[in-house]
Amino acid sequence: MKAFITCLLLSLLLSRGVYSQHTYTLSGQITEINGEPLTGATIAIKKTQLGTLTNKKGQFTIPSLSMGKYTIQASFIGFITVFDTIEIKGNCSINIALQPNMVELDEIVVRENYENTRNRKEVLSIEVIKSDFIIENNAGNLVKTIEKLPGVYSMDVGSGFSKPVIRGMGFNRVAVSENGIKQEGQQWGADHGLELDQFNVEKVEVFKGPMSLQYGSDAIGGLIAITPSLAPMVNKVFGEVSLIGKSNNNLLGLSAMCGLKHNKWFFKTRITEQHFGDYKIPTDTFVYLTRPLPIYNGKLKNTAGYERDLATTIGYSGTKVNSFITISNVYQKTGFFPGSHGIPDINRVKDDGNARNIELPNSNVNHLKIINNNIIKLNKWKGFIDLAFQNNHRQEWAKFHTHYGNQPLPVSNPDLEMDFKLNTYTANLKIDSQNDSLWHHIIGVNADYQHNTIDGYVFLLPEYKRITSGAYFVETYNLSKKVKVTGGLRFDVGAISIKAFHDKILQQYLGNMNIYTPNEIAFYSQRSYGINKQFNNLSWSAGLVYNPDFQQTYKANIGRSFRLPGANELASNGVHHGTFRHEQGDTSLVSEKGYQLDIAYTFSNDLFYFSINPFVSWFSNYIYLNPTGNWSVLPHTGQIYHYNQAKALVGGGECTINYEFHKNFTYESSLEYVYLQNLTDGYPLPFSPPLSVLNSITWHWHSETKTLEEFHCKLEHQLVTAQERIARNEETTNGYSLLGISINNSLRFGKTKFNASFQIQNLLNTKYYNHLSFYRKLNIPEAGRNIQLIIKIPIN
Amino acid sequence: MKQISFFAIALAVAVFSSSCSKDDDKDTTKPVIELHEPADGDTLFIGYETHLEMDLSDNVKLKSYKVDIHNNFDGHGHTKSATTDVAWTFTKSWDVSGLKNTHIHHHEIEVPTTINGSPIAKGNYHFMLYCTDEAGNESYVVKNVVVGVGIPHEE
Repeated sequence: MKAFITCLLLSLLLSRGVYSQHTYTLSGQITEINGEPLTGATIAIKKTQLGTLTNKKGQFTIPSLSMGKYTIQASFIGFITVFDTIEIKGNCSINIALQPNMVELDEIVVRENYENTRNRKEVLSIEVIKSDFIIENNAGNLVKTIEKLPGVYSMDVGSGFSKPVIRGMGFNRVAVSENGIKQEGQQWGADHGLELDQFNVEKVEVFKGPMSLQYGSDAIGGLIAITPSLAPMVNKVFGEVSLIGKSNNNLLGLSAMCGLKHNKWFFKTRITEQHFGDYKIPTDTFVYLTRPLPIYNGKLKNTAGYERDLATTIGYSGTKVNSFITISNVYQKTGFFPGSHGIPDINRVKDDGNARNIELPNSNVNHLKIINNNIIKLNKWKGFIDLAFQNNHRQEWAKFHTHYGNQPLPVSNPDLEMDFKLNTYTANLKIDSQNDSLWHHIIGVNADYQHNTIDGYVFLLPEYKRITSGAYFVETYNLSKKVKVTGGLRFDVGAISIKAFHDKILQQYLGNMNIYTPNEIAFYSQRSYGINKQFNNLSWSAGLVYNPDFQQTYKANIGRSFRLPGANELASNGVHHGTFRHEQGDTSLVSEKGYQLDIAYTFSNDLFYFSINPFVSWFSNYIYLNPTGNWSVLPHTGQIYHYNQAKALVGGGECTINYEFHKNFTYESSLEYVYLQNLTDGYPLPFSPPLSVLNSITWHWHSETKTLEEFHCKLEHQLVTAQERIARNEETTNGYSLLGISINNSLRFGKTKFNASFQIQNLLNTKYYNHLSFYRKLNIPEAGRNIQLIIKIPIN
Repeated sequence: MKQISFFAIALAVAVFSSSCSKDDDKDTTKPVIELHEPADGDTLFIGYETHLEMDLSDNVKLKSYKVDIHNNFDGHGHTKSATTDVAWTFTKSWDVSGLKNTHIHHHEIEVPTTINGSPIAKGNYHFMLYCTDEAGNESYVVKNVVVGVGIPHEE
């Protein structure tokens, strides 16, 4: 405390430096063309260190100007920067109106109130975060990091990789897009993480609710949109190095970026590498199928892994045309705890004496993306053309094993259990009217072509080809300065062609047992049904946003979204290696359709922020795995699970309070809840996230002059209640409470400013289970205490 | 400010009224298997019937149980055995529907000496017992057993 008071005194002394010279004040307001104030806009005076951000009413004050001529620069994200020359002879006031610029975001993205401004313009419930949030809350991967946002959950696969869940919707019900292109991997699998480099993410927008209107199938539950990092405004060479270390799994990582902006050209490249060992869990035994099994040295065997990512962007910004090409490659390799592939027994979980090796079973995934974004400016209209190719190559390796004595050892790659190669070609075309004062029109078309091929000694997902295309329009009308209404309509056509697979080995194996009828043998050995199917879908959305004053925002939105059934849901038949269930697809499935009503209210002033965001969704035919009660004859399986469709209800919401109760202290609290119910059979839907409350107190201060420019110290408590609403054959999960600390500093040495982020997650080394995690079904608790340090150093 | 709080309360009520609605008492409780015989490490003797003894119970009503015996030769996965002997697989289910609890004791699982003319492969096997209830809840247990030669003790 003494140190704190000393620091405070020092900062007071320093900030009140001695200015004996006669000075004047420049004040004014920055607004949009239509007069709406811009909060958090930057006003800077060239060739001086002076500048500030506008307040809630768009107003600013710059004191301490001596007499003379100055060039001022007013800028705001999404608007064209204005330069003006003024002469200061006395105190003076100016008003500046900025014109929207939908394309070029300037580099000064890190700004307090951008989220709010974005929120006030968007009809749907949206959470916006930027790279500083990702650094401060870094939890290993992007999904785990953004889990802190209300309504967002993560489904973890060990310590390294996770997949996103928004309001209880996961797998193929959440879309992730980068640079406007929907990422296509094997999202249907519980042990398949999201292939993205979190260091390469500068801004993320999470849309909680149906987004089929602009993104088509799969965005039924929400969208995580990663927006591109754009060129700096001035010619320069820039770079950044980030270092990360974690104690729990002994992770070491490095991410380095460098770039160049020269007139119309822009180049940027980033490389990231992270290596981690087996992760520690706060237990020495786990109980699986009533059998206690040891955990050696508190480490979960064979959960080590590494990640190697590369991304390069080359861009051209002309007066009529902007064009960017981004090539990125993400490679992730991670071991699976041997107990998760096959029945766990003592021999398999024995310590192998090495916490960093990646033995069998393991997975490695490579995701290559080539994206070309183009913007063509035509008077009042802008054309957007996005073209992309993606190759997702996922392999799972496990020592060759079979239940069928007649299955031969494969000649090549005998331990390649499964191999999926998914190629996706995407073309998006959109025409967007410039935001005039009344109307905003968007019209667009999308087309996707997918081809999935398979290999390996285990059959799980059939080969397929899929083509989808859609056309849509969105209209936004400003009823007044305070009320905006938006509505849109979309029509989609999709066709999928799935290749049949008849398993001759299984047929022979069942035949040899001399107890099954030819019909039974035919049923089991047909591992996938060959079908060609077409789907037509209509999506729409209508909403309004009302900003009665500078402090409040009301929103309401209703929308209809859809999702095409996956190839596994339509056509697979047989044992799923990960769940040991016999899962049977159904070729008669139709598109999943959902309606969502979402309401939001936000109040914010300089010290206080409050938001509440309830929603309710209804699905006319939600796809789920239904236990049939009929035994499968296949070895190591129980009953057959069949993909059925049911009416489903999902409801819940989020609530957030943020209160700066002292100029150096902020209290924040958020609550998230979701209720998922199958209305047809009366059971809860599987993977229902439990209620969670996050409370934190942050001690923060800011100083313009000191080396330690920015200081944030946050103590955080998360309370998660027990989840007893489970589907059949799920396990209930106990509640838990976690403590965490994070300290984030910005330090300035001369012109260089770097960030250091220190965190302790699970401070008390609490043993708890995450209801959604992949290892939950083995009764393996989540990671124990983790101490983490990230340092980010810019190079200019 | 009055207007705000009214709106906020209305929304909060809307959210939590849905969450407070009482769940139907849908059965998600799995049946309980207490398998007495065979136990871990027991031998299933070739040419003899295996002694199965257990208690099954459920909070509502049981439906069926299934025995699944398959090889576990390398202790890891289920790699093919090196000899010409044929690995044995057994799958059979029994109906216990309508019962809330039951004691099972029978000798209906016979370990054959040959399969389609080839001798049965000796070694480690998994003995898995699955049980379902009427609602579709399922539980299972696994025992590591050995298939070998010998004469079973009389019970």
